[in-house]
Amino acid sequence: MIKHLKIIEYALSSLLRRKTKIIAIFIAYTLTVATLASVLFLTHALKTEATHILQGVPDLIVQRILGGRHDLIPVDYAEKIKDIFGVSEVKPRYWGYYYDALTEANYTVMGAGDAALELKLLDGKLPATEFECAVGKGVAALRGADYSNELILVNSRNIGVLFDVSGIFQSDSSLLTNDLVLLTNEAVIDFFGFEPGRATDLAVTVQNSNELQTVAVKIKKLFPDARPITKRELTRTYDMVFNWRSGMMLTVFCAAIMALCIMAWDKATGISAEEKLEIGILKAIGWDTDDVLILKFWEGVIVSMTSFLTGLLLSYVHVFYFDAFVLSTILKGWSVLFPAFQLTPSVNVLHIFTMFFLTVVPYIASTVIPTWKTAVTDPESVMRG
Amino acid sequence: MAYIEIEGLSKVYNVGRADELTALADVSLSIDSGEVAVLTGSSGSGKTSLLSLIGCMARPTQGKVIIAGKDVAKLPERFLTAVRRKRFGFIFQQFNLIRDVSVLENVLLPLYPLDLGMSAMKDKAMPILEKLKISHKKNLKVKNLSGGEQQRVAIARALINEPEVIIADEPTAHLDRRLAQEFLDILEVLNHEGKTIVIATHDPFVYDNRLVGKTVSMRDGRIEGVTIH
Amino acid sequence: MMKGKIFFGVIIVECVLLAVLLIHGRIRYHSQDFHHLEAKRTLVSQLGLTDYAIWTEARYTRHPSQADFFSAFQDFPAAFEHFPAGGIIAPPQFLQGEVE
Ligand SMILES: Nc1ncnc2c1ncn2[C@@H]1O[C@H](COP(=O)(O)OP(=O)(O)O)[C@@H](O)[C@H]1O
Ligand SMILES: [Mg+2]
Repeated sequence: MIKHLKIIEYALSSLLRRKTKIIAIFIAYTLTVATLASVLFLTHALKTEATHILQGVPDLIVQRILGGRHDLIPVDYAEKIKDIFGVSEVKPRYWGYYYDALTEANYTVMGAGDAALELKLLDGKLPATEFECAVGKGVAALRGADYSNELILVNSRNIGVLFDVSGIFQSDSSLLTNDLVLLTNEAVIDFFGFEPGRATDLAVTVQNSNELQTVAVKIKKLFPDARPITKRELTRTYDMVFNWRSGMMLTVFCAAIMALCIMAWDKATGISAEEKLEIGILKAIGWDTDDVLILKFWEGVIVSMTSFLTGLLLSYVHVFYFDAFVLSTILKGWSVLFPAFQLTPSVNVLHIFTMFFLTVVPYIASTVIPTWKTAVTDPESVMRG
Repeated sequence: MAYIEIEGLSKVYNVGRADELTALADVSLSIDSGEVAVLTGSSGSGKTSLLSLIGCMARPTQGKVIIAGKDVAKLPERFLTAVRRKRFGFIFQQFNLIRDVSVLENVLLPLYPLDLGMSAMKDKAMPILEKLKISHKKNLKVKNLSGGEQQRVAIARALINEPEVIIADEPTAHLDRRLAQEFLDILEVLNHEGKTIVIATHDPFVYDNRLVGKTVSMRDGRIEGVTIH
Repeated sequence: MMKGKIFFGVIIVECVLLAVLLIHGRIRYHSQDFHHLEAKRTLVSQLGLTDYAIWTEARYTRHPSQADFFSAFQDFPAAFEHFPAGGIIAPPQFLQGEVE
């Protein structure tokens, strides 16, 4: 024990001697861990949040596919679907996209349906008349609607329509509502010029969730051009969107592993003459091969543990206290409207362990293993200076 | 029986290769406990090679190295380290100190792998540093010391394990006359304390000194003659 | 053993800091659970929302769960695309050929 403490002491002196190199490694290492951890924290938080809040999605969404594309669905499909055993309610949903040439942004225009007029995360009210709208924080900010309380959009007949802003969603809900423009269903139909009797899709409520799949099959049989999307598929989407196979994770992990490999390679090949001499001296004055390897082990632990913990701390603070401001600029891509992430902190301990094994263990190995060869040779060469 | 006993020792470098070189050929020698022995000979005659074999820093190609009655030539590496640590203190030609580390830390270095507390280690080191008159510089980095001071640090490091044998390779090569004399004075004290001393040198100032009990002259990896004073 | 003490001090401080952050996160998580998660869930069910409003540049990024079979991603995740977001998010499950 005391031996290890002393060797740690010497390892620290030894590292301090190579200050610039060690600081460079520390910075590179910390940044690698911080990037990795930020991505993991962010995606995990998004995933956890999604599984919680998407509990409220419709049991079943029924789209119509025409010519391989999503098409408007006849509302009278709803009548027949309602007759299927187990279905308690079918509501048409009216929504579409609106490209705003003024701000070069895409909004999602949605019918509010029969939602309660007052909602907790909404300042104001949902639209009650055809001339009102409720907008997400992003739209409000982009269009200055929070000052003017008005929003002008150009409808499908190329006529500007003026809406009174009756409500603005609070920023806490931005992840869901940032780009929304909510109108009444009638207003959406009129605005987009939907054919009468058509909706964007149908939201189906099923009494017993075990029967969802059966209901979906029945709908498909009844309407061959329909495409039912089950709640399970909806909620699983976000599990999958941020999984290990997704592009972002792949890219980041590859980059991180590459960075570490370069570092390891540098260490493995670069045991300098100076280091060799030092090992020789230590052996000549009575250190065992084991003692030299212990020294290198602790050098590796010191560098990798401090970098690992620092990186972890940085990324945690970055993601959960600074709303992932660095990562979100990367995530943003071409999005004009991009929500601020106010994430509920949730961390998967397994992720921390995974990162530990992916970064700390290889680093220590790459510190100890190259020393091996030098450490087992006879120290005679130091006699020759 | 002699403390160090060498029988039929040879050392061949790069065995089986084009640059194969016989550094020592069939050398036999004995050094008694408490003796001051000097290896002389021109550069390349095999002094350093012989010293490293005596000091368990390398293995012979052939022959026996018997230290205190035990043949160490074929001991496994772990035991070799133990013998080196227990019995030998080395003073290298280039000093071989860790330059960016303090004097005290350099001197304590041989004790690090032992189960000995830091304060106990310092208690051991301080009298030695005082005896060698460098205790006032114990916190300085070695690279900031003069050549003579550096050598005294190297001596202190060689003494910290209380070795029975001091091995010094060309110890005066980097010293002027005055410092060389100081070095010999220190050796004299150590010898009076009972330490066996083996020095390799081609400096007449050293091998002509009255301290020396035995001179071994070497040439081309062989012993030419042994003079006992 | 000054340096050793400083090192262990740093490691301990970092571990404690991390633990405090994680615990604080847990607490925040549970306290927000009431106001926000619940409210957001209501929002989702009341308005019939299905997706995060993160990427608004294309249909399959704004509503990945609603994208039709002929959207991007049909071939493979690394397919070259116009929008970076398409390279960041994975294709929806029903396009990944998983049979349940
Ligand atoms: N590691 C080595 N590989 C090859 N030749 C060596 C090695 N070490 C020493 N020699 C050679 O062995 C001979 C004896 O060297 P050395 O023992 O250093 O002599 P000295 O110390 O008397 O100058 C020299 O010719 C030297 O070049
Ligand atoms: Mg020599």
